[in-house]
Amino acid sequence: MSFNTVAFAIFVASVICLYYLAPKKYQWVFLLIASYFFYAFASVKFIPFIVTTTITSYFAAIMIDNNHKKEKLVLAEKKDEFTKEEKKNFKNIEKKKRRRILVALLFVNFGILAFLKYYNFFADNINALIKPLVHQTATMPHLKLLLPLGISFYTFQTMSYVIDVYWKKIEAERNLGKVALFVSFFPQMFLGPIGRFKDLSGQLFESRGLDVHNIKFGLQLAAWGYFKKMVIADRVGIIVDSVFAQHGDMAGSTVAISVFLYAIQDYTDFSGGVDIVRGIAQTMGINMAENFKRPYFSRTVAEFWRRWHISLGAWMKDYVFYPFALTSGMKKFSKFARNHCGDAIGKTLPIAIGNILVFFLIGIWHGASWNYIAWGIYYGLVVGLGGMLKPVFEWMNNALHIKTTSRLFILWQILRTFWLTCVGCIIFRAASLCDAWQIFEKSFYFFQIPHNYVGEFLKLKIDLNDVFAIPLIILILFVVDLMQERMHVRTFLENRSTAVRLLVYFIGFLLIVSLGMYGPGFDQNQFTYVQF
Amino acid sequence: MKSKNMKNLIEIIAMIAMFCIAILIVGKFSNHQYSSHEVRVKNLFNMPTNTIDVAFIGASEMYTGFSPEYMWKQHGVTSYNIATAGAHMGLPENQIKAILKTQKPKLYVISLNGAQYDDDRAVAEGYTRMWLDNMPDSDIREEGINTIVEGDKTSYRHRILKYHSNFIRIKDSYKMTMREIKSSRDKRLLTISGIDGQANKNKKAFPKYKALDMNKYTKKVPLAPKTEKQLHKFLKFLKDEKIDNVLFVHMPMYYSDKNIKSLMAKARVNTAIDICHEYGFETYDFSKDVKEIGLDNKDDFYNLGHLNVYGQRKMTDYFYNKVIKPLEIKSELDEKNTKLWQENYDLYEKVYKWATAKINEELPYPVHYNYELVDHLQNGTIQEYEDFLKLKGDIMNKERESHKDKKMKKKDFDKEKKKDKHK
Repeated sequence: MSFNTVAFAIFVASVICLYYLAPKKYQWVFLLIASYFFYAFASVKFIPFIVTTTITSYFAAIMIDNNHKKEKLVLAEKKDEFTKEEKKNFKNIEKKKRRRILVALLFVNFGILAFLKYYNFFADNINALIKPLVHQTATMPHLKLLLPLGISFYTFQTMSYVIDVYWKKIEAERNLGKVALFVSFFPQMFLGPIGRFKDLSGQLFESRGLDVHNIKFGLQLAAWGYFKKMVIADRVGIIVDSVFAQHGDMAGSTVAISVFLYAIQDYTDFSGGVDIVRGIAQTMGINMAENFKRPYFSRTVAEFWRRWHISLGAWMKDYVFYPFALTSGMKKFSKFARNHCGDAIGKTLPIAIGNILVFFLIGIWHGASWNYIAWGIYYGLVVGLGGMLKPVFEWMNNALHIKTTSRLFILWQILRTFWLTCVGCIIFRAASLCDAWQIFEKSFYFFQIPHNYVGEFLKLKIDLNDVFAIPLIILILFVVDLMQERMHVRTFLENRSTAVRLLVYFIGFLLIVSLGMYGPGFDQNQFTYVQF
Repeated sequence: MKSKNMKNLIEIIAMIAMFCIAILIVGKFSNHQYSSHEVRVKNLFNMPTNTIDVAFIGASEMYTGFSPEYMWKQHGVTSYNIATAGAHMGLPENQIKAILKTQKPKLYVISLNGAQYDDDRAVAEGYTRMWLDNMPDSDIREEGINTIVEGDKTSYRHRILKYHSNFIRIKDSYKMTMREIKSSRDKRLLTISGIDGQANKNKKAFPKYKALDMNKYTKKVPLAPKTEKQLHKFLKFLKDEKIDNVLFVHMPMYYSDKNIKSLMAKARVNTAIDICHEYGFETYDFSKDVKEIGLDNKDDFYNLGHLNVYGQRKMTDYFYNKVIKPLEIKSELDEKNTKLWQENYDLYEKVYKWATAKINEELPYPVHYNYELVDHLQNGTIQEYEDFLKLKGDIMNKERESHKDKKMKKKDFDKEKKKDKHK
């Protein structure tokens, strides 16, 4: 059930209506049924996977939570009996028990994810290496594996729940149905965001009356999401697909423009989808975390990653970066670095290594491809080195008397960061690393005008009117995003007259209906991030 | 609080209303193909009731082969080209049902050109849409969708799904929509269904002595399964409905033994002719009559299979004398409709004059003309149209040269590669 189908619209409208009509006590049950219906409609054969994750996480969380409570109880009871040593030993034993449960859970769930996502990549690469040395039948078989819908998102989300229970940040949920709803809440199945139990649970399980304001705001947000996805992302995607497939035959200017357009496509595709998700959730009074905060206005790549796919970055920070940084190994390394390389490097080098690890994992989270691995390492190096070279940049700015608060300097930072993300886009989108390098090289020939511009235009497979439409819709995106940097746009709109709002709705819907990519004859791009 | 809720609720309803209005507007303004086929089909349904006495049904060979305006002026018979490019044999049944809603033609002339198509072409979407998508919504249209369309039918039923993106062509969409509204309201200049072709001579004409005598070409090959099924279904329909004022034609063409593809197509048409005879229908194979019609391969055609305005007149005259006159078909129009047809003819004459001038210039690019030429002639912007044709032609020639260069370069590259290999 794709987002831009009539079936999906009918499904969502029905869910919203029935949600508010359902007895308040059982609204969450209705949401659970709707979520599983949605999942089953997408693919019944993948239900066992989400059920496995749900049940294993439910029991693991309860066992860990029970263990916490038991430890607390025993320590309280035997407060006077235990010596310090015995207390420590007891705590360690209980901690090891909890850790075993957690590790087993992570192994099972991440194991399933890793196998489904990476087995074939692993097998193909091993086979490529050993092919000259062994007989054909000794190679690893290539399996027909399909990824269950949303597995990357719900696996990460559910594991964060259990880890939070392990860290005693939250208590385990005793109701299996509620855990199931947290795992399977349907709007976030396609594209996330990766929610946290403490943020979502209260909202998901809360009983609520009809709030028309929420419905209105939610519809506005969803409409904006549809505009970004259907009007911008899918339209520019046609050019991007054509150019990336035939970049060898295209002029430098065409390639450079298509890289820029891919950056736009990537942003509007993903953020548009998330806006639709958040909009739908908001109509039911559920406020999901913002996952994008106008990332192309970032001044540094580090800031970019605090504005882009925020929930994944936050997940990695909380569950990979900090635990990694706090391991005894890293603490020792940090001490070693401080002693041998000075305070500055001693402080930033472990962080850089942590970042490289995090971005490497973010890369492979996206999929099994050398492109994604390279992309992750690229960002890891940029962010890591950026942090390490910060004092150098500051010294340079001082030496050159550059006013870092001036608008020109900020603009330079934004453009520089955008260019760096475009390089990342090339690695991410290209068919191979070799292609990525060729596109990167060619994009420097920005002023190379095509010899046969008519032929070049025809290769793009767009209409002549798109030459005017595409800049217009990108301008709309830019203006709205710029407004969002300074204010909450929907509230701004709320404070305008009804006539203004109706005009905005009319123009918005006119653009979506007329310029949206839907219907036959359109290569309707599935949301890029659905594949992850 | 309650009033705020009410306000928000009204606004949500207004939002939904805006969405619906947007769909209506886009649907109205974007349902266009920007072609003569659209104009020809839409105008058909705006024709005054019972004013079409001869219906020409088929594909491009029909609307380039017959001029209704000329036919009326010279011979007093009204007609209409219910023809769209590449029309297959699945369409005529639906077309006859549609025309019977408002017209009572005394004669249906149906081209067997569609009999040559293979299975893919027999149900090809583009050619089907030229007819179905330009019809007004009706039970006949719905029946056509159900019986002719293979695969997904939703976008046929809801044309906005297919054409919404046309809205971006605001100027063209506005023009076409206004034209549609005007023609529906005024009923003027509707029969320009023969004004579509190229004002060129046939560059691929071969010498007369190389032309085959089609009287001697009797080869027959089986029709493609889907086409055969369509033809039988159509013939059965005619028999069941007792529609016997029908004849089938194969429009004039020159054939040479070098063009195997077109000879195979002719062989299929020969088979189709036999099938029509089995059902008791009359047929005319005008490819055998090219001499009698007085057609010249170069001067009267603009390509191998289509007549230019010179050939169109000859064909129209010949057809009237050979077929219509013996049937004693004559049209009786009231004063109002006579005035409308005269207006059509005056416009046709302007087009004819322009087209013949262009043909004689023998320009090095295709000089297309259709409803756009009609608009420019009426608005006095013919130079603009001619400049556009020249620009289009130059671009096409440039593109062709570039492809040729590329091909030559590849050929040379492959030659060199072979040489190196041998070394």
